[in-house]
Amino acid sequence: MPSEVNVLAIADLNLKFRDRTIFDNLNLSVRDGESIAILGPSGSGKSSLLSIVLGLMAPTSGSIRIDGETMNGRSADDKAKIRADKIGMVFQFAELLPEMNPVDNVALPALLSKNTAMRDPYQRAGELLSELNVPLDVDTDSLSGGERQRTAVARALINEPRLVLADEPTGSLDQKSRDLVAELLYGLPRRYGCGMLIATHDLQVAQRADRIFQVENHRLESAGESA
Amino acid sequence: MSRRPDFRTVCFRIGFRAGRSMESGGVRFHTLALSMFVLTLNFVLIAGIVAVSIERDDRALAGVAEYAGTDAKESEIVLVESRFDNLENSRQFEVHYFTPLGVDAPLPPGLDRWPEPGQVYLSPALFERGADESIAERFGDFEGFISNDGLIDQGELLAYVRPQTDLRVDDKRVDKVIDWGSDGATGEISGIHWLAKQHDFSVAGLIAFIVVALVLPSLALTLVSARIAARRRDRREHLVSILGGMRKHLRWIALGESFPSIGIGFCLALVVMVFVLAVGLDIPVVGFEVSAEDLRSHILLIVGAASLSLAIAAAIVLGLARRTKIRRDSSRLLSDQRLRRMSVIAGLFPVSLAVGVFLPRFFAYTPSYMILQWVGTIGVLLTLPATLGLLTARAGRLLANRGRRRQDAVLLVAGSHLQAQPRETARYITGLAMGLVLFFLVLAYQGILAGDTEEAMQYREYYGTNTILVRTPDAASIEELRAFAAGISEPVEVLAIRTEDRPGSTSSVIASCETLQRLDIPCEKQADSKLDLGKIDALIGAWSSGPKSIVVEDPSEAVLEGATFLLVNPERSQIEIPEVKLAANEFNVIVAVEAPGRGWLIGSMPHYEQAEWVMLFGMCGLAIIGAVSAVASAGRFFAASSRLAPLTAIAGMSSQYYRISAWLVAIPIGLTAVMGTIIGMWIVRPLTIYATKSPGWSTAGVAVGVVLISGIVMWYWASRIAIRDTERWRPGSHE
Repeated sequence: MPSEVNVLAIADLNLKFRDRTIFDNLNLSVRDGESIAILGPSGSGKSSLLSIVLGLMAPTSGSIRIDGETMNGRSADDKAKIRADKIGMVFQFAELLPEMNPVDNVALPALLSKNTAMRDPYQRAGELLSELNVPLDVDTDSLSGGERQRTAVARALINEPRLVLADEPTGSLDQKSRDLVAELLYGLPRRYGCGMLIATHDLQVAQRADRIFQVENHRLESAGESA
Repeated sequence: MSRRPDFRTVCFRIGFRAGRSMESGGVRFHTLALSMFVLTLNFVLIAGIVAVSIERDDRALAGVAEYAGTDAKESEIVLVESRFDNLENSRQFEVHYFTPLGVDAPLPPGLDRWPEPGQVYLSPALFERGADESIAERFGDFEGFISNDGLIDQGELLAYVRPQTDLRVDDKRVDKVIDWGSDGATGEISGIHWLAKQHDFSVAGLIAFIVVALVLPSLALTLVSARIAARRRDRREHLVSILGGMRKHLRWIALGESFPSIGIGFCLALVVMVFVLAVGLDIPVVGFEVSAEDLRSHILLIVGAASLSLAIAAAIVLGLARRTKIRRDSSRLLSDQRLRRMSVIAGLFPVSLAVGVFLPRFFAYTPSYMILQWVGTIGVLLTLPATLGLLTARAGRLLANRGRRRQDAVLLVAGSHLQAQPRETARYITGLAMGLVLFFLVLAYQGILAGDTEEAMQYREYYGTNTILVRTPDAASIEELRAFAAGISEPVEVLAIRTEDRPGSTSSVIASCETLQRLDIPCEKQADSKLDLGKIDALIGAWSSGPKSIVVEDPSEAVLEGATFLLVNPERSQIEIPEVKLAANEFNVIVAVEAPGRGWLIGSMPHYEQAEWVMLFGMCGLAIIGAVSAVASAGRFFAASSRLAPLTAIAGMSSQYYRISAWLVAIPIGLTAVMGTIIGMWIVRPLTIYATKSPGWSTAGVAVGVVLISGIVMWYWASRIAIRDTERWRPGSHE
């Protein structure tokens, strides 16, 4: 069961581009151990929402708190530190560096953020990859689509984030791989003690989330909860 | 019903709009514009050289003398005597003395009237460059300038003199000329501009050098610029191909995309071209003045060359727009087999270097000396790519391992990239290293020619000019000699050199007893062949073709016989040669003044000046090659940085790009510049070891500096672009 601690709290979020309203008083919270899917077609604002959560885009108004820390009014460096410490991200196309092996790819965010709390990023990267059944001693180029995405998931977890964001994480996979990756992703919050926000247009993937929201009328409307 | 738009227009528009999207900060736009600018200027430069050469040849032909036959009327004859002279540290020039015999005598090119006796006309360049030496007074009374149409170029040093005492018809040194100008049928240039043409650099050689040093690197720059930051473009081409687009469609899209950058580069080059066509150009370093009129006379040739550069650039851009697959750089590590092959070839590199550098010394003064040097040089050039590829791979592995050990993301990313794609990295740095080696080879060969000058300068520095030779073609009077000596501010003793008129005879110094005593030399009343001539002056002692003995005698008699004077400063301080030349006006005959052995220096000056052309174009070429390497390496860096963007955007570590770019752009270029320079200086050692003038550390410093500038500029630019692209990255913004 998700705890009562919010790892993500969005309140009264407004986003406007010139005359176009994207979000109008949008509210959302993600609890520790909880997974939430944002469902919606392309252009509905899913990626914009993720950008705002990441602090890469400034909202017109509203507040965003990540694990209790507000993103509003912070400097770019502060936001980057919060991102590095508290957020993991899974991209649609995995975005692995082909010239590095899977272990290097997974360890890289820890090296980039200079996570001193971590004992050995390479050991943890190896452990994560083993847990996610990704072969270690191979070229990244030779990984299958599912293995690449699982590597990306391991990379998102390397800094022990409080919140995992996933942007169309199964968009580039076949059905079998999609199911495997979706199962893996939805198991993360409870397994690793974090919250997860998935943006997807795939209803079957979204249905595995604890809660499902749909972007409608510039707000998030509940589209159901898992059984 | 609306008319269906032409596919060319549609495709061109697609490309034009795509070009405005400025992938990777518009780096392709800027580099393509730069390459077009450089390419056009290089083509225009070649056309300009051809144009100037044609015009110079035409003017040189206008100065060819038509000699009088036996039936020529005396009134149509001008007597001409030509002498060589020189300014200090400059090449020789000709001084033409004229005595017209009648009113119909032909005026030499560049004069509109005959000077009065004693009057002098100088070329503007001689007047300007000889101002410190009072050149305007050296030959008589300066009256005016030889007009530009009488000079082969604005830099020509030339003097026309009408002597106070008319030239004599029966003098063997005097030519009888009835007209000036030739149709060039004989192919030989003689007459007024003979010496200037003798000094010319081979035009074909110069153009060949420019093609190798400037045009080929410019084409390479165009090629790499057309390929840089091509990710989005490749996808577009792929998409268009999938949608049924044919090669012609891709070409029109490519044309639309590249047209603005190529157009801007071309227009900027045209602006420079029009400026030069309007006012001419004073080429720095070599000091050659290009006449705007010469260029304008061949405007079609120049415009044609510029158009050709445009066509070639367009062909390169269109030629690349034919792939239907997205290019994916292999990121797999090199196979063991390939690594072994590279290792074997790379192992031959030090062997080649040793053959080229060390072996020749064991075959000195035999043909094997040069053969081994060349075999070594060719071996070095052939094994360089594999060596650099292997070094890159090894350096990448070391760097990546160090990154893992020190948990340094930058070293890990940069090292992995270098290790995974050593051939791509090696390709662009190999071109740079080879360019540097070839640059030093050319400098070395030119240095062998120009080394004489350096050596002669060293001799001059060592021996100084406290002894001066004054040659008179005829006997001079004692009065003239006294007046001449009085015109020199330094105290001088007048000695003479007499050479007997029989084969194999040696010359002697003739000096009076008083003169010898004033020079602190014991006086013997008979000829003393054992007396050390070096006591008169060290230079005379070292003068291999000079006198071998001293004859104690009054030099006045020798002067009357027409001997050569030797002026020696008893205080052993320097005599100013220009001042002596000025004082020589006191003679009624034309005299030559020089320091003993100075002909060595003067004769070698043309090669010395040609070396400056080689240095100028060589450095420009290096700068272009540096830019090629910098642009190509930036392209590799963008490929890495675009993949890294999502991670660095989230981690907020975009400033790390400065370090990554340093490892992928600036450091490889910097190390290659240093390595190429060291190899270049080393491999030419057998060529320069016996030459005084060789590419030294200052040249090496400039060469490395020129290349480093490209690397540093591109490092900063590429870093800024990568940082900006990363800061603009948003979820869902996949390219």
